[in-house]
Amino acid sequence: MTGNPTRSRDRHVNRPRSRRFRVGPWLLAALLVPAIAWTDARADTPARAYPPSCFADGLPLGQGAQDPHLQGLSISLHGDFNACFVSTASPTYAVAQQECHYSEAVNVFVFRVPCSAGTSATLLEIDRAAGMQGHTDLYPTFPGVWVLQGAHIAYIRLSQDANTTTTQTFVNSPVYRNSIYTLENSAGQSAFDYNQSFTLTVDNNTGLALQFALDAYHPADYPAAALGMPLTGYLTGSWYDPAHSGEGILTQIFDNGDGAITRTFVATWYTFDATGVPFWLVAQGTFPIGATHVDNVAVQSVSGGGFAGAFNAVTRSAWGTMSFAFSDCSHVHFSYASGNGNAAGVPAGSGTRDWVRIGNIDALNCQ
Amino acid sequence: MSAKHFRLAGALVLFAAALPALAASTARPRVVVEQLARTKLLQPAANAGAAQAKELIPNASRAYPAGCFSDTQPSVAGNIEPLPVTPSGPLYGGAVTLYAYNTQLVNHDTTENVTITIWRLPCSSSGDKTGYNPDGGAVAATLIRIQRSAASNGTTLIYPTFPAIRIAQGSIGFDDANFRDYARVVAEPNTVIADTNIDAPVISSTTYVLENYPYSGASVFAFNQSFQIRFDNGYTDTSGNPIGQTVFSIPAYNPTASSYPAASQPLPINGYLSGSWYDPTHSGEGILTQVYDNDGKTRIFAATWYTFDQAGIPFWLVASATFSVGATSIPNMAVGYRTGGGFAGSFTPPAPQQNWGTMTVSFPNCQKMTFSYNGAATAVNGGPAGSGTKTFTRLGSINSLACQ
Repeated sequence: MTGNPTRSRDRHVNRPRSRRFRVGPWLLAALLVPAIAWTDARADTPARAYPPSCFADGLPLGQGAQDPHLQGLSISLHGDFNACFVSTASPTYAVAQQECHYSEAVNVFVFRVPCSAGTSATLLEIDRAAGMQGHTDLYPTFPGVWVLQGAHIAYIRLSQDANTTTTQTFVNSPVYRNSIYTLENSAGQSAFDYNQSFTLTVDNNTGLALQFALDAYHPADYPAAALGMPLTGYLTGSWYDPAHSGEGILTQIFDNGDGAITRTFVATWYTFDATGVPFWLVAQGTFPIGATHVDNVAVQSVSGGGFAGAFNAVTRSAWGTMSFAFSDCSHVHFSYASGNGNAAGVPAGSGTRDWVRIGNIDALNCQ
Repeated sequence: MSAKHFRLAGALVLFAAALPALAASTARPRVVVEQLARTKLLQPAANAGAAQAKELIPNASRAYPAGCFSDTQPSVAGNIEPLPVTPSGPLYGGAVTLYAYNTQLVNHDTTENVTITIWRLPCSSSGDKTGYNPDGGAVAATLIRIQRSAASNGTTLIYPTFPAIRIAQGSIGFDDANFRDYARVVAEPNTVIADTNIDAPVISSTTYVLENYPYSGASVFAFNQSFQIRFDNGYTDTSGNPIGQTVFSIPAYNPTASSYPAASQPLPINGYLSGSWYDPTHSGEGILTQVYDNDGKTRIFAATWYTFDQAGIPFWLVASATFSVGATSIPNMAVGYRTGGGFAGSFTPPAPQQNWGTMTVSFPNCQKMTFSYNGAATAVNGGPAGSGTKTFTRLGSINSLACQ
């Protein structure tokens, strides 16, 4: 190479085209919730690349080894072309000149993580060389990344935040530390289905490109896909038995504010007593983040209260236990067992049930 | 032609293009210095997990409540604008000269005058003290719109580029030695890491929201309080002194009914108002709310009141209603209950649905639910009955849906 280095510029022109999310038919009834038409609330947003709930626990930096089909290749990424333009008068000139001509061998990983309902998300991770992590005087820059699927080829949007619609990492952006990016679709552009087979190319813009050929995603290859959903806020919702509409369970998953170690699971069971009159029970337990089930959670029945605060204190009585797990966003499997000593008329028994979700909470759309 | 150029993938190019070699510009070396200086700020996080947010809880670097933009709809036909495009309320800012890239010039250097407008969007103000709200005062998100002229908006022949932006607030002044005057500026809400690089193209007029960096050593600005913001196009005079800086002073956010009408209204009802609500002086009774997506224009509000009958035995009521997106109240919602059911499905549906009465519900902020109620469970002996108005307090924070 001779002469002045080229100043790289990224150009992103939105090409207007109206897109809508896919609409799935859902069934609905129970309690008093009227029928819900299942269209997504937002038009003109790019086609989702994975379910919103997939990264509720954060992006899996450094966890690519959990993918049996993990692919990793080494490539040299160039330094920041912008550094070439630092003037000789600048105190940072010397290091900038180094950065201008710098290149660094990095490891590029491509892998998938299982999401709900047989879908996955595909991630790109760039790991810096040992000892260079966080080095900000000399650093590699983000490569060009494009995808070929069928006859469709295009540069793709990659984001370091999950569930974005426009955010993207531009070519020649600094990569200061090991970084992980989600593969996304762009508005106004035909969507890729990253669950299917495709070829991903990583181009260092200085004459070298790596190709990653991904086969279609097969959930059976991923042990985590069979474990059920990790318990996150996305499993907050209403659940019922379509064959016995009128009874239900509301679940809520709360943050505990303990530094992302545990969360709290609460289920309120809207049921009936022995005479068919409304009666409720409440279950509550703490679990470590990442758990896919809560077992033998204490259930209470509460008595001695009054309507709209017309009481002083309630009596909380141990009712028994319940266990919960969610095979996907739409199904809860639970067991229940009442203990001894419940008052007459308090619903009692034991068994297991599989109930389905009613509705999707706005801003917490589990798919 | 330099060897260093973007490679074309067939004829399909989204954002990269082959560029000819260009002479190094010495007119604005500081642009690069700014960009490089920012690297100093981005030291590895003290907590390795900090930059990979485990939860959308109010992390220490958040700049506004997560629910603040839940009702923002894309508002430019065919173009994604995750943030509001029309400034509202008190406006700050003015004309700013940005560096512009002229594809027709050999050295590409030119400038473009744009209008930068800074304004605030009222958010839930619950009085909670947080990193972004250290005094528990009123809360807003602070937005920046870079508006190109009508004639030039969208053109790619010549386009302005994103300026270096610095913030001065309290003890942090411009050109802080440790670069603590940098803020994150992003065109999409509720991000943790996303950033806009200095000199990124601004082809169409774009709105950005001010954010904080999640890294150790970065400032957590309280954008609700007064601050100064500086836009720098990087140009210097022959002595190296900056000549392309524009500073605007933004006063503290002190909403009144006339300056920010929305700030004194209840919150628009969205998913963030799903949760548990109770009276701390009468613990044991409560209401669970869930706000469902519906058809894009309307949502469904559902409330389950877990209460007691006149004998002190648990009893529940349910209410639901469809409402228009943007509504701040659910008026006269039908409330009912069912009879004839059984435990764990041991009954033959339908369990008859009974009318109880009505409720009206609104949310002054993320932590309070105000409701009135009037009804009676006449189909059940001793069923709950009465009328009144109550304000319940939120219990807990739902993971991934933190309302503040």
